[in-house]
Amino acid sequence: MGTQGRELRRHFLREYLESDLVAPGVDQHAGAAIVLGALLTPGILLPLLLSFKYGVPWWSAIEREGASWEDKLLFVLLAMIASGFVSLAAWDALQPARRDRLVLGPLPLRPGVIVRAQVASLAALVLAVNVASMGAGPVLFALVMVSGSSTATWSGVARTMAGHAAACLMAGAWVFLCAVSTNAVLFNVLGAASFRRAGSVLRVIGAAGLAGLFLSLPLLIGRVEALVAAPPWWAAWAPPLWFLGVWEYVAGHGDAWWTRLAWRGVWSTSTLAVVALCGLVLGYARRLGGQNTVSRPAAAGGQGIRRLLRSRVLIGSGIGTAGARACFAFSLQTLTRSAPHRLIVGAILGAGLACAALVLAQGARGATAPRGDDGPAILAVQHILTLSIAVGIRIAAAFPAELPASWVFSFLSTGRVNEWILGVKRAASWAGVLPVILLTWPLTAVRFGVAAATIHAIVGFVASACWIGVLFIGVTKAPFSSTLEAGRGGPKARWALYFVAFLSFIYVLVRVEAAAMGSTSGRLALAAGSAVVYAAIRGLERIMARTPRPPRFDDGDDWDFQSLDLSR
Amino acid sequence: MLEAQSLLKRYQGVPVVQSVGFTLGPGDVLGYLGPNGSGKSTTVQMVLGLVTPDGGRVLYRGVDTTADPPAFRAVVGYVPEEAHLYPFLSGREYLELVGRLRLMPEAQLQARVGRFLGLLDFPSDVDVPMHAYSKGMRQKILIIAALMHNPDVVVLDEPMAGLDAVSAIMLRHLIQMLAKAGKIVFYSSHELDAVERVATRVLVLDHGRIVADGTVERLKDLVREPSLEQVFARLVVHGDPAERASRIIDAMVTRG
Repeated sequence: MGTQGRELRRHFLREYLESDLVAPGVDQHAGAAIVLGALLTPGILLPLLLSFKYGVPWWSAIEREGASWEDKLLFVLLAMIASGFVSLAAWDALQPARRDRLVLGPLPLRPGVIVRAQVASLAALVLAVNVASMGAGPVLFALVMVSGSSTATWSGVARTMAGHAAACLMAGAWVFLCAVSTNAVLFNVLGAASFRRAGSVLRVIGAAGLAGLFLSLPLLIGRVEALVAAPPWWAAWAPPLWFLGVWEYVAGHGDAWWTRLAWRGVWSTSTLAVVALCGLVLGYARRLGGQNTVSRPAAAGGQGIRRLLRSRVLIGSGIGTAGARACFAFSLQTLTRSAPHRLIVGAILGAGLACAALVLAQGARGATAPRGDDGPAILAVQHILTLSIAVGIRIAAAFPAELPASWVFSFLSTGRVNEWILGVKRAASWAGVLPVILLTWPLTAVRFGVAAATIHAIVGFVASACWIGVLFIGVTKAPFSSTLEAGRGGPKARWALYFVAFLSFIYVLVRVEAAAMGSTSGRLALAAGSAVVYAAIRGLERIMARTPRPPRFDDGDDWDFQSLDLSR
Repeated sequence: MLEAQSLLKRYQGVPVVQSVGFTLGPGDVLGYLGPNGSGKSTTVQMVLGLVTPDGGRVLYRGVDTTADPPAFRAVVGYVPEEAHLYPFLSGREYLELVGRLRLMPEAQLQARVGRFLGLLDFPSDVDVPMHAYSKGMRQKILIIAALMHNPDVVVLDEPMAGLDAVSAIMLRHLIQMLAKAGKIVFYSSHELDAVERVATRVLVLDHGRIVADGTVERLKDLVREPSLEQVFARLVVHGDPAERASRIIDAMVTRG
């Protein structure tokens, strides 16, 4: 790669670390350190935790091998998940960004140089993330695996290390190449405008899927030993098993089945690499060659939202004051049109889906027991999902929609931030919770009947209003407009308490619901109770919205020129 | 010679630039004028090869610029209408990036960056990220980036935007000096006064078509107006601007 390529590669790598949402001037080392720590921890911690398992001296080599599959699969899946999140985060960078085209376009650069630099910088990023997420894993895990064995050899340890590294790197590369191929194919097939819309949806689905996969890890790895003992037909088509095959093959334990899986992994990765490369080159040629160079703004989606916002019925239905209505509309628009905000909500919803799947699986298992009942588990699904979407919107509201535009909030502040928060809460209820309730209604209706499902939906809406209220208690930060400062928004101890409290609340609520569903009087009592609670919440919110409380902007010392761009 | 021949561009079937053509030689300063949406920036982008024309072509020294776009861009300096910059880079870092991508020798690059920054009165905080820069400072960075490789063709799209009065006067002189040094200057602007002072030729665009082409003096004679501003008003302003301003005030104060 020539001078231009090297310079561009360095520049693109630096660009990945930059975010328009992070406060200007903030030292990004703190954020990078947190991310690096999060990536390095599993690679170091997991082998240490597993050392207790493998310190059994009487295990034979075959027993040791069989017991290790679930841990190996865990490492492979973690590599895939880490790579998946990086790929989703870098999704927009897989095609030339508008800013890059505007800055680099007039410079004497051949498209091929830009393509190669972009691909190389992305590959370097993914490799760095994969190496960091593996950390010292290959060395430590190989040593842990032989810790209690009397027959282990140094060459065997070395091969296990090599197998570990090869499997995890290839698994990470496979996920990354999947993202690149999908991105490139979508761009070339759909064209620039449709690609943006489809890409947004795919990223949210991807984030939800990865979060779900992460939470389902205990469920998945617990089944691998049985799967290997009697492999079903689909096992040969499960990508994580391909890379487990690579591990076994490189480590020298591969029988014919593992070898077949390993080669399937190699072929699949190679094919994806070819598709990704061809797609990228074609996409770049189209963009930089001028066919799509002028990006007209995508037809602003959300016609439905616009109609909804203009609807007098909705505006008159008690969104509240003008400030609350403005923030309600702004929250809806931000959540539907801003990719980072959708990603946050998608990831938290994915975690909720995984929790719901676990609860359903647990419920189905419990139903086979004497006097078992899967009813509470089914009822819990709606509450878990509405809670997760409420949490997602709460977190998303802490991210700025567009940093340079934050001055609008500061400039127009009425000194009552509660008005704005009320608007966000309403948006969370109408645009987040309500669709989830409508989507889960059929599940409850099939199990409990239409009337009971409707009552459950009402209870769910009221319960969600409760936890939306709790989630926003004490929030004085202007929604969607304060900057982020790395390290300031880190995990807090009270979150664990919230989590336990919410789960306990859901547990009690579904038990009460399940008991009340059996009779008409019980259902009526639930509906009446819900109405009373909802009226109380609404009343309280209205009083709070009128209470003067100035908004807080976390914008650092140089807020004056960041916000108004006037001081220099 | 820089020559544009019958340039045509359509967006979604609607022509935004039609039959635009001009020939510029060393020392020429073309003032490219037109109201908002008249097709000025699209023309600039077609000249630079950033937008592919639907018809016509651009020749530099008799060679179609699409034959080897990087070779053409190597001799062009471009100040864009909007300051698209990387806010996380400092001004110096941005200039170094551009210079290295233009394959300037490192010693020459460092010397020129230092010299330009000094000449354009950059304060000591040139090494802070550009998100902290004012609009004028960003514009100066773009001007340096366009000139530091000593281009033969200089394309300026609203270069005065955000500049203080002193810098604007300096830029006017600079454009004249560039022309004297044998550069071809394509100067797209709304600043009629500045264009009147520096342009050797003026081309007025309206709704994508050329409505006037000639020297400032010739246009004044043709339209029988004393200044370029009045020539422009006669050619492209439809309706009475004072009347329209009055309606805006009405709209501000009317209820409902």
